[in-house]
Amino acid sequence: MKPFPFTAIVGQEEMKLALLVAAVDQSVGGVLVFGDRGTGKSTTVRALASLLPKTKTVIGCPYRCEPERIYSACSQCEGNKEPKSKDQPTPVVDLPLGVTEDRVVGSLDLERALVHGEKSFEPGLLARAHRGFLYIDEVNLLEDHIVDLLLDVAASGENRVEREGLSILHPSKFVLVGSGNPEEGELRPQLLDRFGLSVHVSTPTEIKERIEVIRRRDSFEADPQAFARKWSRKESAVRRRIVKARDALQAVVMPDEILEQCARLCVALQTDGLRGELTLIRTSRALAAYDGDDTVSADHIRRIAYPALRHRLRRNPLDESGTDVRIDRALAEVFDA
Amino acid sequence: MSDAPQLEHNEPALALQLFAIEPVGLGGIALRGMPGPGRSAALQVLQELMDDRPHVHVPINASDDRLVGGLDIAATLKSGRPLYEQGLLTQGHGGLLILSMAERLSARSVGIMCRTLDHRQVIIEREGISAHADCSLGVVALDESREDDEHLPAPLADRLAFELWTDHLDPSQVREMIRTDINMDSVRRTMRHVDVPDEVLEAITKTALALGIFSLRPALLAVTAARALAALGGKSQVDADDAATAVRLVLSHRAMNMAMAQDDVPPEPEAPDEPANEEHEHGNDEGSREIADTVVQAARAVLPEHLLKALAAGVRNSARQTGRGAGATAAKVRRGRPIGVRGVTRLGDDKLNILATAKAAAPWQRIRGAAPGRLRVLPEDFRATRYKTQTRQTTIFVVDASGSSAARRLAEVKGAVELLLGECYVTRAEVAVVAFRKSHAEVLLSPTRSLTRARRELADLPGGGATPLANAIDVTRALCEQVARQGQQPNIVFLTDGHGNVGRDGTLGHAEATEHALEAAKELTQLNVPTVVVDTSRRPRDRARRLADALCARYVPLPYADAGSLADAVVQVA
Repeated sequence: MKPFPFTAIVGQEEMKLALLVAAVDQSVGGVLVFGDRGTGKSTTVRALASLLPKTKTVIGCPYRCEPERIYSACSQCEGNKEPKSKDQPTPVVDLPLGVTEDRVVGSLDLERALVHGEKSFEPGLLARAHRGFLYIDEVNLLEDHIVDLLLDVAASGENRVEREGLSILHPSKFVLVGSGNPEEGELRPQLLDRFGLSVHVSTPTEIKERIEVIRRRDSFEADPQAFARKWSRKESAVRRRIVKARDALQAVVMPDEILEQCARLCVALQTDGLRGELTLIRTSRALAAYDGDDTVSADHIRRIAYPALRHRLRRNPLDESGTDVRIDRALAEVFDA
Repeated sequence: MSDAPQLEHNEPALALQLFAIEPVGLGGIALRGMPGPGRSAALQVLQELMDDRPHVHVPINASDDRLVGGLDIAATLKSGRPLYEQGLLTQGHGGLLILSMAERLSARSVGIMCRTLDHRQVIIEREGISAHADCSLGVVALDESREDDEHLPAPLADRLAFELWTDHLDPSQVREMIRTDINMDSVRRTMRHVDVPDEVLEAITKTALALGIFSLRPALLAVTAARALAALGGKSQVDADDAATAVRLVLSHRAMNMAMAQDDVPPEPEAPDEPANEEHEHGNDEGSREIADTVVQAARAVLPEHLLKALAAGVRNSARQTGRGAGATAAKVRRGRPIGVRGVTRLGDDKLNILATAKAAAPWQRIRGAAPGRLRVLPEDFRATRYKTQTRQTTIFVVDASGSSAARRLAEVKGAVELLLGECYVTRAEVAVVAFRKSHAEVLLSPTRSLTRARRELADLPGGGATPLANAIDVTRALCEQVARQGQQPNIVFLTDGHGNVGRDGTLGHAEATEHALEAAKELTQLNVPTVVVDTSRRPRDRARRLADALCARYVPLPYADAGSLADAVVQVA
């Protein structure tokens, strides 16, 4: 089925913003989308795939090496002085519930083992998602032993496989995107910690917005192709904006004053460690780049502070409503004083 | 048990017919009721209407690899190259997936199915196979929920357009009402071009919201149903009748189900003239939030740490601990429904699944150079069976909300429960809440892993009234039995002062009530469930301790840390 266009998604601004920020700067860490049923969580994430600009990738490399930065341990590209590359789409890899370990980390190529009696490595989803996005719908229902694998790789950026005497190490850096409904179960704190941004989605209560959602969805269902054509110009505009923002990212200025305010914000909120501050700095810079601004301003911080810090507050794990209020207060304290 | 929504006499047949026209767009139909002539007729009618399409039955215990497919070991070894075995989902492509006892599906199976319904595609990433397969299907969920505590998993119910109550369905009437004079294929084609006027979209969306249906999916399903209705009537545009019928068929049962859920909530608190409580009601959200925080802080100071951990480890009166060897503990780990296998690198307590291990090893024999007729197994082939209950504890909180526990005290009890819930969050246990006040006890929250919901239910719990302690113990016992039936290990935390004054039969009277409570407690001990009694009385007294003894439970007084200043703090913050 054709994916629903990203730009045709009504409302849910914070979720869209978080995903776009991660698309501009993949180093901001993952995005967690938690919230009500029927709010288009997974539709939005899957819609992102067609917005992501293509990136230069070595042809035929199973680990998706970048031509300028070949991974030292890549068996495919090793010794290849001038690897050929071409623009390839950024992967958004679906990690489905019911996945087996061997497909996540990779294993021996079964076909070659059976037919030719050869040992060769068949890369798994972690290789496929390198330099792209790894998406887990219903992330809170994922089995614990798979979560453990992901935590390990997400922390190190590398995947190590030992099997049948094969010893493989390959890079695996990806933006982890998870979605789920808190009513189905909570997320393990260790996993929660891996996400740079955390978004809460709720069903729109505004009747006009709801009607618009139903209208667009109904016309998409009736004729997906025609619907996609109607939105294609908006889609390309956003895609160009992402490319431009990526190019501008390094040049965005982070004034000392803003750095200090970020620090004060994190102190006021008593976030654990430096992670919150780092995320706040990175994401606000990506947001400024996406907005076409050359300097990070207080406005950028205000907009990104909620998803960047919400899940880092020391708090009662049961208390959800309170966190945004606390961020409100801290923002007022730091920026309005 | 609840009542079916009142549909017009031809509407069950209409729902079946619409679903047969557009099974994919409408998602599915829940057939609610016991096996019987009504249900059989509904199923048969569907199968006749879609006789050229596959019908795949999914048994309740279908594992992940049965659902999505996996490696066909026998065929693979025979042919010498990997061959994939279709899963039930792909087998149902283009037709119907019939789920037996859908109310008992595991959350993960539901997740897999919902993903398939949403994207009309199955992703297979299993056992060396990586593939995508188209998969458009409609779901027939056979829902045999009898008790109010069972229901179709919400994510699935959200995606199924219709619900039919089959117990009173008249087979001959349904058959008569099915229209056989139409060409289903041509209706399927024309419904895509049916025009849906803005007023209809608006009316359906508004109705859904007015009925308290917040998810947007049901409204969209109703619009799709209205399209199909118009096409069935030979119309090029959806009219008001189509919209009204669609709303009745798709939305009304959801509103009914929700109204029932709300009936469970106790009525408005009957004014315990109590300042803190009143402030709580009128105070703004921020204020009440702070009250909650204050209360949690206060309770933190007085609760023994890791109470639950000790509970889970089976801390209880010594008399009951004898005769429980290591064997019993190991057996406990292997209880419950097997839900698949997983790789293990080291065999500790895990039970090796020989068949799965042999299956895992089989394809690699050639490269391992195994001699013919021998199987060379390496540690990486080891597969252990996973059981559903491996780490699943369900902690049942039984909260005394009666007047004797005093409304002010209730705030602290809520705080204490929140703290304990926090520990459940860490251990990923499920929680359930039973509350008792006035004439009876009730299950405020069925076992769930959602602490968000537990917190919400608790916050809304009013206080005051008599103390039906005996009834509370009976309700708790029934809940324990239910939890155990589902293969989980229950734990109980009573928060009460042990001062019952309503007997099992509902009569008031302290002496009799106490006797009944002790009787009920004795019956509960037969289930052998680890129990803690947290004494919430102002000054720890004999009553709660006696109750703890009768329950063979651990007794923990919740001391009245600094009663005056705590109450003052609550009032001041509000």
